[in-house]
Amino acid sequence: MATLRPFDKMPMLNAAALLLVGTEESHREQLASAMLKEPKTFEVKIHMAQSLPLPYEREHLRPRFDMVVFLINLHSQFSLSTVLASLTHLDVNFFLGKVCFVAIGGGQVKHCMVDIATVKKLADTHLSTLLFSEFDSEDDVTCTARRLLQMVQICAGLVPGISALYLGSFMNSTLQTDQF
Amino acid sequence: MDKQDELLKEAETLARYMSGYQHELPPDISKTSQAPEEAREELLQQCEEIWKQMEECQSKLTMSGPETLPEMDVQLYLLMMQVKALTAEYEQWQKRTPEIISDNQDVLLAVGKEELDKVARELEMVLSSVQAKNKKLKKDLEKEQNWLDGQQKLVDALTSRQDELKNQLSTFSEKRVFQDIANKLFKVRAYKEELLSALGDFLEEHFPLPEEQENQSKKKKGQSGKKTVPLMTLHEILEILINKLMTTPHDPYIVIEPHHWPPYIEMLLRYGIALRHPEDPNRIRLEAFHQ
Repeated sequence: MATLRPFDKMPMLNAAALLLVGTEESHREQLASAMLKEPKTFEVKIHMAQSLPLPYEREHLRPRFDMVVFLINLHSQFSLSTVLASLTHLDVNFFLGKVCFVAIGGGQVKHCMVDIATVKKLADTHLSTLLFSEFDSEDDVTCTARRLLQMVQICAGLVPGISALYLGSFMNSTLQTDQF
Repeated sequence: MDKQDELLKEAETLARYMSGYQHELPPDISKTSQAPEEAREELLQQCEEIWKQMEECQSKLTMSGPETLPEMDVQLYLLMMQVKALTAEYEQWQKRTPEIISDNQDVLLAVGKEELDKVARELEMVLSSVQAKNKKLKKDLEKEQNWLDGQQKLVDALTSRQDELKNQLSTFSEKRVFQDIANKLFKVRAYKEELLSALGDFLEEHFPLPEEQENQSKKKKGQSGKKTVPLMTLHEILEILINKLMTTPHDPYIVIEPHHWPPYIEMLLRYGIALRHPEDPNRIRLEAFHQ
């Protein structure tokens, strides 16, 4: 049971690595292909997992992850509980701006098994960014992919003068639970 | 196939746009000269040093063991961490002094060229988009102008039509109606005259006064002992009836008198031209043909 750590390996040159964690394989695939399609100035490596911890074998093949994205399907309680369990296998240093939650399917309220407020509280507690997206619309996926790319660019240190730490503290000030 | 066609079309339009401003572009600078070997070496050396520093830092980081989330007060814990990290980063920024990439002239030249190239590319894009926008605006303007011209023409036509109608209206109300009515009246009067004279001719020809039977009637009248009176023609009887009906429509009856020849009265009554008074058999009226 290895804990995922942010600085355990050397970085790659002019590249960013991203880990997508979520129970829905289709969502992961959709988001990953949208991100790869976007034009960008750096190389992005996307790894996907259903949950954490990652299996010990093939550990040497993995890059250093600059950012971890948790996909939460609001239509499934299981999705949320898996993400909650996975959080305990993450090094605390990731929570200094290198974690992002993406809540999927909040538009169809009648299908929602997970309260939106719960997800917001989760993101606030972990000082992380929360994005909302609908994965049945192509535009929405593209938009989410673009935002994630901008964030991973900062997390990988490819933007001079800005670190992931700022990202976490700047983005979260607007997303306090008690405002809702 | 469709996608290919689309792509081809896009490429064509792009080429057309490009040719539009190609002569305004600066020459490509990055390919004119290659950075000397010496400068390359120096830069590589610097990179190696930085990489070594990073490796040192990384090994230090690996020394500290992994740290997972606490059970309680996650937010507080993370906030404390954030404060620490932000403070550390702040101190780092305070200590840091801005550094120059390299003193080497060649490197600086190459970097400058690269920057210029980038700026040139971006400006090119701006130029192309501005030109495209300009074109579109011009097209729009033309369209709007055409529309405006059309509308102006329409307004002119409508205004002239309005003036025409106004003129017509003023003459129409004053003279025309009057003249029309006068004409109609004249025609109707002429027709009436015609009808009356035709009637008179007809009556004169076919309903003469009984003169040849004077002797017989004299005898009869003599027998009855009544005074002979000059008889009235059918024409005159009708005229009286018509006049009576027209002048006093509430009381159209006339009294039958001796100078009305009885056979004519009988004939008028029998053919429904005249009607007897329902209560007084001595009074008759003309049938109301006009109602």
